[in-house]
Amino acid sequence: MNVSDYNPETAKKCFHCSDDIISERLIVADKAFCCNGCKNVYLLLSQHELGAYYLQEDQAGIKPDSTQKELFAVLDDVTLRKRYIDFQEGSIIRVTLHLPQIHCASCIYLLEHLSKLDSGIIQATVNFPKRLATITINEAKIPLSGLASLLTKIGYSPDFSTDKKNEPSIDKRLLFQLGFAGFAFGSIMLWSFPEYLGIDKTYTGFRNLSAYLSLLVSIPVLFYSAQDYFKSAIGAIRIKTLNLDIPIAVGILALYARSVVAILSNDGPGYMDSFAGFVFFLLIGKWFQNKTYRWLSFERDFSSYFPIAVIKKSGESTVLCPIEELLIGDEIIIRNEEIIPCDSVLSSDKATIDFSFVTGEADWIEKTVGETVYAGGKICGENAIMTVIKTTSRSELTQLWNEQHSKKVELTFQSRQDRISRYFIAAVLLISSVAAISWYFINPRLIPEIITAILIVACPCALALSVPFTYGNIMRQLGKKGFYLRNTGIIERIQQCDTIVFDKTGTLTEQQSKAIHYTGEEISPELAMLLFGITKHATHPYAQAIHEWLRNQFQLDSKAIDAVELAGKGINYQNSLFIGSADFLGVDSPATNEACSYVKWNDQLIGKFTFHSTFREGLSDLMKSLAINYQLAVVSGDNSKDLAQIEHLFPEGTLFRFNQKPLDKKAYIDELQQNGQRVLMIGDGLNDAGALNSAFVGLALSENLVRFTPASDSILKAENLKYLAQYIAYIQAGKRFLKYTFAFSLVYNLTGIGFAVTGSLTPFVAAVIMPLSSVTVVGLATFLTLTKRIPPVEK
Amino acid sequence: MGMIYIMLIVSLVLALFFLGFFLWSAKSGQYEDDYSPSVRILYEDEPLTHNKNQLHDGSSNN
Repeated sequence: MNVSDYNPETAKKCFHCSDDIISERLIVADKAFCCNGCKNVYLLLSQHELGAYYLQEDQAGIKPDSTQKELFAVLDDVTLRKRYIDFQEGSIIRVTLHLPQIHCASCIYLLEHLSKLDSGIIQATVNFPKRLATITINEAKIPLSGLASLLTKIGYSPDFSTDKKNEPSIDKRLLFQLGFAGFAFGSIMLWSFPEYLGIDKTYTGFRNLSAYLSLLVSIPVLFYSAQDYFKSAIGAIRIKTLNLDIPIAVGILALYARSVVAILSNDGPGYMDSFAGFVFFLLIGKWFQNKTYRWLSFERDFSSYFPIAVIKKSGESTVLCPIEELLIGDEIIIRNEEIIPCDSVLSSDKATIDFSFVTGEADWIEKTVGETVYAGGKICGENAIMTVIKTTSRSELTQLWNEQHSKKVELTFQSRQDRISRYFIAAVLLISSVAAISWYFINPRLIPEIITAILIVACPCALALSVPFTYGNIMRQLGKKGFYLRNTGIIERIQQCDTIVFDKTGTLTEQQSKAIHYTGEEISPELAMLLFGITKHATHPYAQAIHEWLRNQFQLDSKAIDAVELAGKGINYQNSLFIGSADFLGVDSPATNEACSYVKWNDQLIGKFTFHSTFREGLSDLMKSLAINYQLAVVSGDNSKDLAQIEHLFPEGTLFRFNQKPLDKKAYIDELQQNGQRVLMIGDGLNDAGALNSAFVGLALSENLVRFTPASDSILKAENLKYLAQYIAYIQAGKRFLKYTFAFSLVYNLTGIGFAVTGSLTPFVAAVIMPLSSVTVVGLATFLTLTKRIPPVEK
Repeated sequence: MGMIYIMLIVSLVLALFFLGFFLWSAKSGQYEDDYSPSVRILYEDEPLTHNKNQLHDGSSNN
């Protein structure tokens, strides 16, 4: 951030979290902030001389979660916390916490300087790719729950649902394989140098020694480094399909067998250099592919939202009980802001529940005693007591989730390579047999030589490398723009989509809480206090929004004032102060679509609050360009009164569906797909999770990439939604890139086969052609994918 | 010509050394986190010593 020309009065973005400042601006120490949370984090950091946090990287700050998780208390329970603790000696404790919000250099800076914030923290070390922080604390000074709260306060809420730290590191195995292959490749090349230069065949002693050494170092390459290709090929043969690993495995074996025969018959090192080089390049391609998307975790599911323990009634007292151990019939207490972990029957008189988490709707729902409340709802206001009727794993949300997760089969993944390799194998077999028959008439003694030469040179190494490198590069390029794909298979899937379905709330509109605008007479401090007090316990989202607005605007923090709330109408305070809808207050409202709340005090209309749910920018252009190639559809949980609002954004022929519950959205996607359409579903929240999973490709939109996103095939930074058409075009261009690289590698193979068939392929030619073809294809793939520009273009 | 036999063995031993080092470094987790060390090295102050002082003299944070 450029500090010298920073003006807090005009800055568009929050100094801390870099979000746009929408409703009001808070200015502290010449910095502008979007909300109280961000301001507090800034103050906390600057008090402890951690201001350098903001110098490490732009957009460093994370907007702190306003919903405080109360259940960190579980961390102070000696038995429950065991699985999070690495080490304990007296009051010194070391924990490894998964902090999904770690996303940049500033995060590392802040977390590794945690000791400055609290003297109880002794040391903290961050593992960036895994998003883990290993923190040592002195429990006598700060309890573990205090550490968790502190982390939450500065925006890094620990995620206790996943077991990240014990995740096996598959990369390590690949590194070992790569090490052996590279070692063998380099050594054999070095020893083969005299062969390349045409060593006199009479130096049998040297030739034999180098050949046998080559054989020795190649053994681990065959059995360790290349084993995954054999496994995959055998697996494919078992289920009677063909995949690209089959020709690779055959090629590797042919190379190896031919070389072993050459070595054992004292005829030089054979093709060992090509063999080791081939395996080495294949593994590099794989490593590259892994690296491109390793750091992004797609697998966070809804359970990371759920509390890990809940307060259970046990006779007269209460105990903390892990969610998994809840039994049907247990009575649990859910406090304000906590999420209901499992389907239950309400025992308290009434409870107000926010189901926006599940359904996406903003309106809160009132439940009374005896009614069933479903998992995923958030309690707003008073504590609620309820009786469990379904254990968590069987609750409806989980079912919706699990059902989808297991069903998704990799239908088309690698389909193109499979098709091509099928032709490829057929062609190679055909050519070999034709060559064998022809040579039967010319010189039958040469047949085995020539057949192996054909198999070796036809080995589709370039072909095998072109897919991971082309698509790997595409993934990496898109990743730089905030569009992350789960794997290269998703690229192929996106290429096949013909229908795009958008969720409305949170996808087409901004996810940020409704922007408020106040017009009218200035609010006096006295009135502000009153309004603040009477809206404190109000359940309507508008009232809540006004409450928050007042808190920020007037720096208020006072107690609630009793007032009468009339559901869906407004609040009446002692018949002198009214706040609510136009009808409720009896004022004339202009005929607009805007949602307003009016304030009337002592029979005087003071002013009104206007709420905007803003659409993302650039939607209309995006839809226009998408409509050329795709059928568009919108599903929304809201009712159809919003149609007029969004209709103009979409071209004709767009389908609209309203009043869609999560299951309806999923059913709609299924219906489309049963008609043969391939759907790209774009959604944002958990309420779209089922639909995202059902869809041919699920794309989750995320305001903040490091925040929760439902498990999906891809994640797109919300602000880049407007470039979606260009991204899809880029992905489509990938098909063309692949064709070029395929053509290139085929030319190599055909030239090689040409030589091999005529019996003039020397070891030297094969040794040069094969690694060279791989390198060229890798270079071509990289060149094609990197030279195409995709928005947003950096200055 | 005898020299080349020695060189052959030397090259193998040397390569084995590098392989050994590579495997050791991979095993000890040096490739686990290829990002944070590059950031950590640029910090102005040294958080570790700072903390140790804090532990011993028990002084409050700055």
